[in-house]
Amino acid sequence: MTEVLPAPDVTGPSEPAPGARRHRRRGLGLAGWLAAGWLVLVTLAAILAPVLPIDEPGITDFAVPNNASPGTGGHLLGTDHNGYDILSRVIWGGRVSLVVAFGVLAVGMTVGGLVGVLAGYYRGRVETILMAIVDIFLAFPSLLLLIAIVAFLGADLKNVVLGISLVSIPAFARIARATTLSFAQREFVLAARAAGAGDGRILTREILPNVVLPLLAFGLLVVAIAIVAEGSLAFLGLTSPETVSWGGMINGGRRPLQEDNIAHVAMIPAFVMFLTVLSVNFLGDRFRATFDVKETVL
Amino acid sequence: MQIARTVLVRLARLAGVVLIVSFITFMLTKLMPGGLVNTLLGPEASNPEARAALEAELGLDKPLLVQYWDYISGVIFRGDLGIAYATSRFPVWDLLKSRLPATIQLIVMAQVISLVISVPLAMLSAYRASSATDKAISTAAFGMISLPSFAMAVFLVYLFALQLDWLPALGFKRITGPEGLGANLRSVALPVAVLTAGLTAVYTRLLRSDLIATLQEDFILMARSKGLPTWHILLRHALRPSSFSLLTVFGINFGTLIGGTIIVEYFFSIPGIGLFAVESIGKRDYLAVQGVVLVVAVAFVVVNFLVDLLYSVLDPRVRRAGAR
Repeated sequence: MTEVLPAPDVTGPSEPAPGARRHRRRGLGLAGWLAAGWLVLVTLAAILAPVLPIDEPGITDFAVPNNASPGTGGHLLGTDHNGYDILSRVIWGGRVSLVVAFGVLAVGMTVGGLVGVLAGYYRGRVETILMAIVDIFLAFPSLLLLIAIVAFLGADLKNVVLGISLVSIPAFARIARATTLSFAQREFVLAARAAGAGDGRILTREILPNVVLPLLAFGLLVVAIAIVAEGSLAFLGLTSPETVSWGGMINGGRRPLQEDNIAHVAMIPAFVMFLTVLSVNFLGDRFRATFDVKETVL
Repeated sequence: MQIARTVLVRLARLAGVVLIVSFITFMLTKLMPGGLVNTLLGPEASNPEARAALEAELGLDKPLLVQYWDYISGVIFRGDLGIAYATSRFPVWDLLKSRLPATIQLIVMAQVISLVISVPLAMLSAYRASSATDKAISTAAFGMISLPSFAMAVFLVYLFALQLDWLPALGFKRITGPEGLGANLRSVALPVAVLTAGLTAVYTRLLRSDLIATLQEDFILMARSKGLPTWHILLRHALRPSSFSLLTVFGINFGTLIGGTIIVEYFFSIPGIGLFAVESIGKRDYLAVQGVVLVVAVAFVVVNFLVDLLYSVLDPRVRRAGAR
């Protein structure tokens, strides 16, 4: 997909139709297990990268020519235009995607969730002001905004994560607000209030536990988008060149592909990225079906 | 009268959004590390006298709000977006004008082609929901959505430029160039295909789910019991009430496509707005960046305004609500 973040149009969880849940297939299915397996593999490899028996990602192997084909000179996936081992860089590049995924979940979901819950619970002027800000952010091509933020703040990984999180906040806020709206009217909230619970207690004990799961399910979608967003920045050469990243690898493989007819340098990271994003999206889709978060705009 | 007022109020709100966006961009550019003065002066930047002289010349010594007013009043009253000081030293508007045709061509072609593909696909999918055809279309669309545009570009170049040798792997030929329309179309074929793939997937999924909902309505049953042919029911009865989300996203995508074309223009070395933005940001040319953002924001807002107007054409109920 071309966009960085979707403008979600959420109606919040609706009452499931009678019997609808009974017919839903339980479990992940073969494709689901394959997706989960791939993500576990990428995650484990990324975490264990320093101790795995692979080449250093930033050391040129002069024994083989640059852009060596897969299998040459002990390089399972070949080498790139700098003579770096591609397998090693794919594994190290996974670390960046991992950091981005969890960073955006932590920052974007916390801040966006908080804004959305407060707006949905207190309504009135708080809601109007918060949502007006959210709408202004959503009315802006997010990749351009992201590029601007990263270019202006500097391109180290911390700023990239911060930038993507910032761009993801409005979408999280929308979801959290919609979900909160639907729960704030429910009987158990009224019951809690009748029992003398204050706003703080209702928010943390009654509303929040119900908002977290739909938000997390939407979060998986944002993780996929965040990985692509980091990839886009790295692909455009706007992140720090020392950071090994799949997008940066694809950018590096662009000239071999387009000018020297050498495909594997760009194809391998592109394929790894596709599989990863596909897996995250697939699992996210399953979770969203379970928690019934509707988005018409993907 | 009432309608004219609604339109006016909406226009005013849009102008407000554009002003706010331009202000935020203006403030963001002030955060640029180093800033324009460093770029222009180079090694001279450590000389305080030279700095002060240049800042006075560029008006950078004035308070921020005055600077913003100078900028935005120049834009509004004279159509003057400033000079691209850090790069070519041409007026930003002239540079943008020379870059716009390529981007507009990409966006318009991608949008039109993906609509032409996705409407029949969605109908095929929705009319026989859960059939093998529907599952195949839905799976393909899901895969396309998960395919980042730069990965898609790599795959397409590999297939159509390297393996089949049908299309050029990069570059852009203008329609007005010596080789004319044929070369132009060949040069944009792969970039447009990359954009189209993602858009088609989104549009097909969206229209499919709305069509499935519409096809359950009573008036469809009515049409069917009258014995109308399937294609007539789908095209004349079901399509129109199902096309609202599609229209909304279609409008929004004119904005998000600007993001999409950045990637595609960079990948295929196409001299459009997106590549211009990347180049300007890389060289810290802040007036050029502001100019790009402003033009994009205006285009985005205007297209969404037109989409809003189109609603009332598609749905008489909206028209009446506006008149009330």
